[in-house]
Amino acid sequence: MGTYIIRRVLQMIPVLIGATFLIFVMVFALPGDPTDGKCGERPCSPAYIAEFKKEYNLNDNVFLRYAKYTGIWPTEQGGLLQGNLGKNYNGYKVVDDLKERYPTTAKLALVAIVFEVVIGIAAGVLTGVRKGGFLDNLVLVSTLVVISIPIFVIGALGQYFLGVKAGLFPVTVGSNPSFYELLLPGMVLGSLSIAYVSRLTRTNLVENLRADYVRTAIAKGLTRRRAVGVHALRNSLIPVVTFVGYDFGGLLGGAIVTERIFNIQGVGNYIYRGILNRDGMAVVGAVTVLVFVYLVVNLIVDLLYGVLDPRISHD
Amino acid sequence: MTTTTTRAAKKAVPESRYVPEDGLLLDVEDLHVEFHTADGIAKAINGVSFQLRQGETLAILGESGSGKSVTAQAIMGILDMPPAVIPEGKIRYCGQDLLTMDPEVRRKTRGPEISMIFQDALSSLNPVFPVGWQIAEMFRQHRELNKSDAMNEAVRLMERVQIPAARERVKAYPHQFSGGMRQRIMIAMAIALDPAVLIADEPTTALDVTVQAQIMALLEELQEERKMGLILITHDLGVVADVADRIAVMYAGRLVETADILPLYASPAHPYTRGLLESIPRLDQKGQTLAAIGGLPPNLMRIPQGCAFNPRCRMAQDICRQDRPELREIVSGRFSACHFAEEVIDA
Amino acid sequence: MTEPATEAIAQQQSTGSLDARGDVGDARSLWSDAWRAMRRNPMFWISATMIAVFILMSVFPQLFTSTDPARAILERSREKPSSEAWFGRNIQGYDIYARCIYGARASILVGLLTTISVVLVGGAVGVFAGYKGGWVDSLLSRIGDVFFAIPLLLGAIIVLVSLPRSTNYWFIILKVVLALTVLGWPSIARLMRSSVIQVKPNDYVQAARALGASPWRVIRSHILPNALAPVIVVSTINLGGYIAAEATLSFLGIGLQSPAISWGIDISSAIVGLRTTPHMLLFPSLFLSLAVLAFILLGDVVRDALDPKNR
Repeated sequence: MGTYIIRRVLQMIPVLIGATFLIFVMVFALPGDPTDGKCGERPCSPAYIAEFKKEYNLNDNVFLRYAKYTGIWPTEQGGLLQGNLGKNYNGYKVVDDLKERYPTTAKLALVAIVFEVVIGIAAGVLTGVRKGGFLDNLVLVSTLVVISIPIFVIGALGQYFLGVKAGLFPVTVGSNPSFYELLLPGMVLGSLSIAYVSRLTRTNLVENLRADYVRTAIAKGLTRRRAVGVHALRNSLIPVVTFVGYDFGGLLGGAIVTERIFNIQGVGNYIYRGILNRDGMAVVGAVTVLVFVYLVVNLIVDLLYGVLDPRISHD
Repeated sequence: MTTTTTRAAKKAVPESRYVPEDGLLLDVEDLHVEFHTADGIAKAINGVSFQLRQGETLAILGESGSGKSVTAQAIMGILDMPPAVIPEGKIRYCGQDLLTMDPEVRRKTRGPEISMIFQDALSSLNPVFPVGWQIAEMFRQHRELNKSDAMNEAVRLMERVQIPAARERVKAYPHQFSGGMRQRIMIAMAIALDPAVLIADEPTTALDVTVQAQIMALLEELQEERKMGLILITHDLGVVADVADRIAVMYAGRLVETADILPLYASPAHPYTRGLLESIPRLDQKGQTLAAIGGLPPNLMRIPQGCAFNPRCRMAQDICRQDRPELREIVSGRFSACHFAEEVIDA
Repeated sequence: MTEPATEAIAQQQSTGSLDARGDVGDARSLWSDAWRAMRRNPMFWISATMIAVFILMSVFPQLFTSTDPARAILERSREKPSSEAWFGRNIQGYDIYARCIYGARASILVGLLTTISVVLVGGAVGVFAGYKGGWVDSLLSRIGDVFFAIPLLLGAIIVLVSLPRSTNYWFIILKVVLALTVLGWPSIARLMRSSVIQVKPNDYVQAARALGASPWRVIRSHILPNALAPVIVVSTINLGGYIAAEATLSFLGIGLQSPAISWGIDISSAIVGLRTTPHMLLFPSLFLSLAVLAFILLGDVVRDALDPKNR
């Protein structure tokens, strides 16, 4: 197990470097002038541009800039490896900005994941054990509907009906939101995944209910509840865990939309603002951190897979 | 090992267990099972009757699709219903009909009263739980033992079925055992609560020949030790020869012959049984061509008129295509469902 | 199911299985079996009809409406649905029905073009990697991992923002297609690669290679027919996802911009007036969701039809 973790971490490094480099190149190396629109309606003064370019290493080639950014190429202020994500175009440290916003997005993602796991699995089990029943068809149709409605529509509808009309949830979210405030946005963010989790649970459960070991469980004189809820479900949840892990990336993308709709001051909104302001440093910093988190989550899921399924050996 | 044996032997037949005076544990009467599928009704079992007494070993023999496994599953009550339907018949355990019993009462018979071993232990054991946990589950659920007591019982049983280093391996997972060891674990689980009836559905089919013999020996030993009624489901006459007391031969969902083991071997009373016997390789007939039964078992949705075996039978006459022969007593204790049973038995 | 029932059924039909990658003949019977199963499924006809209507809408919007979607009647802004304007009018006074019809084009274009380019790029990379094996495979797989590590929407936003700005309709459409392709190709490449690796060791493929068939011929006649089924299923479902992604990007103001017509733009502008004029949000959302639904449904139906377990 130990060597497996080390190997996986080592494998992660080139992917992380590749992904951050890719983001870096896309944001900085492609056409488009980052000083565009920074000085109001007029073009910026040459002096300002020169200073700007020096500050952000815009005169170096892209590889050198990336090396300086990550800290592989030593600079006095240090780079990503030293925990320095540089300053955004407004002169604030990106790290400080992220520190401020990260807890909010983490909370939001947590609400979404708890929501998708609890409701998704419950719906999957209820429909899986009564395959073809009324509830099964109802859930099947409603998951299809949820899957087909884009998240920003669900967000707007949820905000309107559950927040404004029914008054069940707070409609606006403060700057340091509580879990309660993030309940509705989290549900919106997790809604697409709920549909997938419930369908995945159902499919796997239906398949596992046919498995020989469930028949054994019945032959052992266990209650049907235990045969299904312990023996079949335990096996059915293995792919669900994997899905929740890989889907984490989708959740991060969805966070941009959700935070925008509910005006939540999280990382997603930060990226969105950064993009609108063409603030490359902010965007690269925030996205790099998100990709890092995503890769770490995937690593954890892979390790968890080995724990959940003893047949997978990590030697 | 001796100590564990005596300890187990003491507990073998619990005082509380009710066994009728005549020792009749299981009485299956005119059992019918159908499968209702989208393509039609498959008649898997069409009127099967037999009895099982305490300490008796009954072998049910037949090709795949003959209904032998379905019979076992019907007794065990683990058929998927639907698609399976039991339109007729009775399965009496110690005088009580299992089919009309309250489902919750019947559930509690599975394990302590009637228990079952399956063919493929790898797929029949849950891959994600340790074997010890799976054995201990019997005690946790039926006897309400606590975790450590149940685990100790699991170790004891694993030792009883001769799994080496049982205490160390109790936390291992099914895939970490060899095929023979896995089947021993299945057996340990099945005998955990000292059942009165043990059904073994092709317990050795998936195993190597040497391991087959060991498992059969273990089953025989356990059966004698605990005075269980044992039903051995198999397609292989060779496997049951040393172990079984009686044999019931099944074809297309019916019993075609039942007899004590020795007379049946000596002179089969049904052409199908004879075909099965002839298809076993024998050392004393070296150089001769091995006989095989031609053709395929019938489609259960369209069982032939008359005797179901007639399309494959070398002796088939017109009467075999029209009238279905009933199971009848040919000689004392020997039953056959063939119009020409007397001729077959004499041949 | 239990032993005799399955046997009885197995006797009646020879099953073509996705797993039993026997030969091209199997692949053919697989498709004809699947077609037979699909024909009987009403969901197939529903989704296929919906897709046909949406495609027709995107090619010939005039067939569905004679109203000019760009004709703003400001004084009738936010008008409720009426016999004149079936779905009502939005803030600018545009006819919402006409906007819904004309909005199909952007979604269908992005969906189809992205799917085509993802299948071409991902398919080519996957087949090449799987066929060549060795270091080529390792390198391409690692590159795929790098792209896979960036969440689709996040990456697409960055690509879109870094590409030159423009107001040209076609240029933006292609930009969106490019952004989604850059992030989307690895999933198809992985699928294709594993299919190729599964099929390659089979005797008939090795025999064809030994007989001197060119790599292209081996790939085309032996590998592709077997590998295609999962790719088609995944692509169809993904197509729905691309349509949703296009609308999301337009909603965020990063994709198409007004005066271009897109469901995403209309939904975005309708959210402001949600409390008083929900119809402005309802209709474009409905069209968008139905389009996404149609493709996901079709993918589901095809997958079920190709899966012998479901017959």
